[in-house]
Amino acid sequence: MNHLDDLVDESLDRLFPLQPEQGDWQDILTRLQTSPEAVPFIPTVRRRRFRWLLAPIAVLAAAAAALLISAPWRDGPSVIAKASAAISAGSPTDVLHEQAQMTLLVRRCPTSGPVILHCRKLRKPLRLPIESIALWVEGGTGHRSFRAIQRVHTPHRPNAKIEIPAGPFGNATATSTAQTQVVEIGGHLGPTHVADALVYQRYRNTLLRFTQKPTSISADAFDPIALVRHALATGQARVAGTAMLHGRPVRAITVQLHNLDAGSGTATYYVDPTTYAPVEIVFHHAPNLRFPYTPIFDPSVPIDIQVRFSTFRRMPATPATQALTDIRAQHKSAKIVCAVEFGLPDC
Amino acid sequence: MRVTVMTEPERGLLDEIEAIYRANVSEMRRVARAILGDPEAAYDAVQDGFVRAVRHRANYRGECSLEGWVWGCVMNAIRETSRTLGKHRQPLDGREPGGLAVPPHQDEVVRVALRRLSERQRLVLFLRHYADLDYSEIGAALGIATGTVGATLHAARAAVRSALEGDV
Repeated sequence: MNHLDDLVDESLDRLFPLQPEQGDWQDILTRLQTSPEAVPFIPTVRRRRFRWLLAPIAVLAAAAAALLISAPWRDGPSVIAKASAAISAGSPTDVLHEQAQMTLLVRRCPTSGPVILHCRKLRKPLRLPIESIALWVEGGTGHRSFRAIQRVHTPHRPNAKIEIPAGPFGNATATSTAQTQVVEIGGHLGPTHVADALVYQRYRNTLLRFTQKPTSISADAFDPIALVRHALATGQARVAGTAMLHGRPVRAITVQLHNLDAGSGTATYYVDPTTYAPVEIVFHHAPNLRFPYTPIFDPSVPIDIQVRFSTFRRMPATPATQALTDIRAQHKSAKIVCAVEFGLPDC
Repeated sequence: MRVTVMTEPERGLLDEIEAIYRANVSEMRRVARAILGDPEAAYDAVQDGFVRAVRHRANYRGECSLEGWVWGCVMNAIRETSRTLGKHRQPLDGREPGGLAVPPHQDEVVRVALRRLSERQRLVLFLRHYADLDYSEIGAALGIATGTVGATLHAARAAVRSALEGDV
């Protein structure tokens, strides 16, 4: 390559500079549903001999339309209302059970901060599965018992440094598999924040009592769907259309997030079109969004957080299901100890 | 609502096409802007290209990389858009938002030289320079042999270089 080649390259770069752009995959799925090729061609058949029927049909159609407009059943629940009802917090006679897998979608090579990838360009978004969540929580919105198990995966990538930060209850408890750590926590949630919590220490068979000021840990910290629940209930959502996701039809809802801890941002919430059960949430580049044990990135690096649900169900509160929300019932032989390092009063 | 029953490979392909989209959308729109000279048309062409790729993904036979095949779908959409826009449009006329207010004279020479290239030469040059595709991927995208890609690229660069040389 000689000097002139360099000049050509420089000019080409200046003529059409690279403009980092966000894709709109949802738009493609919408076009897929609505573009002409997707609509079967139905040839029109002209039958002039029935033209005299047009006038009565028009009258009937107008009457039907008038009836529909004035009919009381026209105010059936909307998509948002159905989606909201499907993930409502329920009543104290319910127990909610959720399971989800959380994956980070990294679009650019972070070169500073706790996550460093030694690359110049990512040809595909880097998918980093970071944790799976299982949550059992009593229904309602008041003071309620909860238990969560988080399996935190330390993503192993060659030529990369990825640090998992300490969660709100300290470092994850190490288990036999080096790449995976398990945190089991339970206690009580207040209306907005964690009221009290116990962290199970498997290797000592103890329950570490942990309390903080009630404003420090959000009640949503273990429940990604709670963010969506608030948005749906407060009118910060709109229906984006239908889509195919991982080979299944879904309804897509765009959600505006305004949360005390998450700051502002947008998310796409996918629900089953029949049951309106949650399928997936994709939080779009919300630098302030923090889940426990989620690696912290440089805020300028575009990252989506994908939460894919495998279970979301509401069970009647029975002694057996309530025991699932009670960490002490799950570890009856464990001794409760105080977290001395947090400077707590005696247990 | 129409429910499409998909096989496991089709599901996997859909995910991969989505990943290709998210990784390459900036480069694809850059190539489309260079060819069409209209950012909005470029946006639509790339989106339509992916609609085709998703719809016809069952036709992917694995004879080339999936990325090359998807680029082919996008390039077909771009070329169709180019034909639809018609001959009244003069590509490479628009000034890019991120470009310099007063471009160097050298850029004007290159712009004129690019206009004189054949469509294939321009496409090959843009795919190589803006999208950083290798020869086999360019061949898959444009439906031409890998050897032809090399020869076309050589000729295109030589033409632009000689235009600059004459100017210098």
